[in-house]
Amino acid sequence: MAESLDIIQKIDSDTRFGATGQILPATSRKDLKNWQASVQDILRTLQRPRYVASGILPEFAQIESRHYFIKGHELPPYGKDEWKGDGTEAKRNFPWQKN
Amino acid sequence: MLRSTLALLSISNSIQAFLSPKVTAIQRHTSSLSMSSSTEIVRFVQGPRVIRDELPIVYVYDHCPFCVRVRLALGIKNIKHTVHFLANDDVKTPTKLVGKKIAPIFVSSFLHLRYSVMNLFTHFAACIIRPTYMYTFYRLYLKIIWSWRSPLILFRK
Repeated sequence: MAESLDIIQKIDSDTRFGATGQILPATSRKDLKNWQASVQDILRTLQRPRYVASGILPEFAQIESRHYFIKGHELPPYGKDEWKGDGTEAKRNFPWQKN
Repeated sequence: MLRSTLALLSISNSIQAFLSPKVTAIQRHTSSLSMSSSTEIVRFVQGPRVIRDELPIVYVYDHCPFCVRVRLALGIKNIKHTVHFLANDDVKTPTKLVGKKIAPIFVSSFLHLRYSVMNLFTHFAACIIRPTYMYTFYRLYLKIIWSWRSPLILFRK
């Protein structure tokens, strides 16, 4: 999760990339995180299908890329294990889990 | 997506939230409309353009908020760079760079030697150790190597 911030920190502390210390360090605010968690399902169901299916974004320009994304990103009623397979693997591997 | 984010930020002037007070290029002036003098609009002004001989490359997805974060920082610092949009099913390119499919990846043009030597080490370790019973140690070695490179920043030269 912190990788992008690592990159920014590295860029911002290197004099070869202009003046240093231009960007404040992360605040790790809890309220923003909580809000993000609260709208996560809505974003997944409303936003994701649209920006993936449109094909406007360069990473989804070709159909294989879109299929790859859909396979790796489960939608709310399903868990990760159910999403990847036909639903039988999850029960077989984790019989104690309710699906 | 980045352009719209930047546009949004410039409209709401909330870009100041990302910037430290050390930035000297920022002009401060009090809004005439505001009732109290404590609320002041800080206008962001980009610093001079940073153009290096070998441009840094960022490997990103356009929809990925973490990638946008890095691109925003490059925009704030006004660094000229090459944007490489990875196809979403492209596993090879990022794996070659940092060992797994992940974005953003920032490739800059320093410390190329360290990068290539490390690749060489990894290659030899793969050749020598893999057929022996030390396979688990080899896995561990690879894990350490990749974890050391984990900030996903590759410095070449």
